[in-house]
Amino acid sequence: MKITLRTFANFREIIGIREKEISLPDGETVGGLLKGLCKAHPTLQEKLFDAGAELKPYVIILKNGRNIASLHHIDTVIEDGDVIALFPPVAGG
Amino acid sequence: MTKMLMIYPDRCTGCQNCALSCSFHHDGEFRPHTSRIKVFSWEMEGFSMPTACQQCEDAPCVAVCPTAAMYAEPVASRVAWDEAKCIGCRMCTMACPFGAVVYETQKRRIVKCDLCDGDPQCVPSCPTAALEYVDETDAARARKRAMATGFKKTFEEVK
Amino acid sequence: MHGWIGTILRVNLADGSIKKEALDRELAKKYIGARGLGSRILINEIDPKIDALSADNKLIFAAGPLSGTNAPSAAHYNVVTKGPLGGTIAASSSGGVFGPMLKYAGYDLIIIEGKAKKPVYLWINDAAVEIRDAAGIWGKAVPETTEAIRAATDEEASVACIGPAGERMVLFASIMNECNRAAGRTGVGAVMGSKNLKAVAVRGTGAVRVADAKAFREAMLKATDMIKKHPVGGGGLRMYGTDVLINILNESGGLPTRNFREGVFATADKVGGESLTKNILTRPRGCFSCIISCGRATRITNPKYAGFGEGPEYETAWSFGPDCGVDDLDAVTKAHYLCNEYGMDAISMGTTIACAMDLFENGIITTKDTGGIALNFGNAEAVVEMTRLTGAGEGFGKKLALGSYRLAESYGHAEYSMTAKKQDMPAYDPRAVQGIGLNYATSNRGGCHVRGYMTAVEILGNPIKMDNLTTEGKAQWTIIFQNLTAALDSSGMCLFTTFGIGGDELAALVSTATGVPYSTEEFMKAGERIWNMERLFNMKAGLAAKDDTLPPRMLNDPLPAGPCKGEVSKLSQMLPEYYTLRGWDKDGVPTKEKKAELGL
Repeated sequence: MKITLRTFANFREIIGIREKEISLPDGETVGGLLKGLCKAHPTLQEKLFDAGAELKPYVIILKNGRNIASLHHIDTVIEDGDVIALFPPVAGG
Repeated sequence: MTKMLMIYPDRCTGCQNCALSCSFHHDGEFRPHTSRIKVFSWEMEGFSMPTACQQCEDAPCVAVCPTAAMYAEPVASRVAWDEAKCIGCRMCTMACPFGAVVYETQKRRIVKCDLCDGDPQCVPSCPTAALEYVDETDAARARKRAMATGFKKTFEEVK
Repeated sequence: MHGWIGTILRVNLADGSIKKEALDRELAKKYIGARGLGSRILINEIDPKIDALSADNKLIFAAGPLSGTNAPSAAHYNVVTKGPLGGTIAASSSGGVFGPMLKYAGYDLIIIEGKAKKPVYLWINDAAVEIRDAAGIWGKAVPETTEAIRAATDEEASVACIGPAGERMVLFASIMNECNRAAGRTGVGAVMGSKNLKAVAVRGTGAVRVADAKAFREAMLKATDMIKKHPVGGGGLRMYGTDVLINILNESGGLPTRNFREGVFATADKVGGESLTKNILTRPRGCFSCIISCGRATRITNPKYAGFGEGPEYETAWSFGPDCGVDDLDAVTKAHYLCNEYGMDAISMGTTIACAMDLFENGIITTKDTGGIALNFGNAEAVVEMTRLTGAGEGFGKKLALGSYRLAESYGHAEYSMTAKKQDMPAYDPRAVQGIGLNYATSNRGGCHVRGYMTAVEILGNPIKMDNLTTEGKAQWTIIFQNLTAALDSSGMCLFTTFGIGGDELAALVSTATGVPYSTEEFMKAGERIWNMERLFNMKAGLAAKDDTLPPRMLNDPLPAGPCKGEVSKLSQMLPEYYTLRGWDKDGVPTKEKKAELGL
């Protein structure tokens, strides 16, 4: 299947792209996608995950605009045509 | 190894935490007016420059002091002073080319950076590392590296 | 005193009298300082029903007990008055160095009364205070005013002033200090203009002392460390500024677009923090004692919009950008500079233009009204020009100066104004971020995000993550945020510190500084007291439960597309629970028991 990956703030600098269409095996989860990204961009690992391989607090991952915290966290299954957006901890006002 | 207070104005945000921690450390109160480090800001341009005693080796303040209250302390790489010997003539204030020695009216005393006796409090209070207390010979290393990094980028682009 | 200075400066512009009064320590304990204490004093002294722009209104500049210390990011002061935009209590917060400088000069607050016969400014040089003629600077923009006053007083003076917009009483005029820092919202600048007061300049050479230096230092180091270690406070905001929010709100479907018609703007990225950092950032800036450095020193080289200064922040990048259908960062930044120079709230300016664009596209106004300018969404040049016209008081700008509510109402279509209590809502769509909608509706100064920043939990997941589309638990969290913010605003701290610390750390800082042992509970209770006091003032001023609402578009028109497609604000599901949890009756009036509990 094909999905769209969008990256923001310093994740954009690390991954080096703003938006990209990528191919994933059917049934891939958000966790699987992130692992793949960490493999390709090793500096991403410590930005995304803590030592216990848990997603770091305040990292924001949206599937079609919905935070995965409101879905199934990193076990959220990605579907064909999804837009996955990755944000490091950000804030403002 | 002797150290110096290195200032990077390009990193300074103008917050004056240095001045606050300075007056709190020396006088137990927050009074930036008498801080030994002072930040000048140009608000529209967004530029700020902290200034403090440069601890000159051949210091005019030492040379003009009539009672030798102001003296060089090479071991600590600073200019120190002895309040007991100070007669409050303010010659040091007039001689310093940086305006870094101030005679303060309220407590009638010399106010000048003493590097907090080797642990300058302004340094850890700076949120952006615009102040560093580093080995004198290495002080300019960050700037050298920045220059070298610029060259590296240029060469990579050419290649 | 410790933390507090212990002195209030009272200046009557009508008779020229200047008095120094002792601060009532018991009152200070109850209302902390800045927003809380300033509001308490204002409410004690004015009739809530007065016209905000009449000589009967008062204008209070109030610092907090932490202002002037090295508590992290503790530079804030509040301008407190009855606001002309919404007729509500108005406390508008600003950073820079003005608040600390006021304390170094020897005052916790300045109370300005009456109206001067001709333009004046106030010069406070430690104990020496004088009212000076401002004839030579009336009409000048903020940077020129600041420069001229410094030249006439002291180069280190902190200058809080109005620009031409405040002089002409633009209803969303700001008070600017250090050129770029704004007491932006609620129209406090118009009140200053109504008093013929151009500026307050202050230089202080004295000290702020704390009760327990050792314990204060420990509390300061702990709070500083927590903020620095937090990924947001310790680097994220410095790197990208607040404008980094553009993309996350857009991706979440809650970035108000084209006057809140939509929640997604296709080219939002062009005005987001990533683009700002890459294209126009000179360096990050910080207010006095700030360790976060969200401020943006920027420069536009594009000759069409050339200039330099600070900003834009997220709110203004949005108000002039997506809310007007504009994706030209240079134009947005130029409009922001103009707001700083003329002295106008950049949120309300942008949203008022967005409202005018909506009226234009719906045929309610035409080029006859706008002076020939086609006010279509996306017209970046028109956004800059409308901002200039408003600041300069020319043409259609005179209508825009009334704010979006009165503008739309004057054409018989108030429903096009995206306001709560006549103040424009900021950059979070209440249909996509349900809790922030409850906060807008209940905010004591009208549409405002910094009264109870629900976006933190609903979008940013800080300190916990809540679903942005549900209503469960939102009333309780809104109340917690509103109370905490009221107490924090009163201490002199910046709201952004709460991205790293909470009530425990704030209470410890205020306690060790003042010597008043606030428990976390007592600190939060002070916040609740302040909130209820503000509410009671508004009710006496004529506001009621019916005003705790949102524009009909938010309640009736579903978001047309994006992740929150089909959603409307479920305000009616949250509001009754909010009243109950607040201890208010069904009409939103604080009960006798609640008032007694809070000592009101």
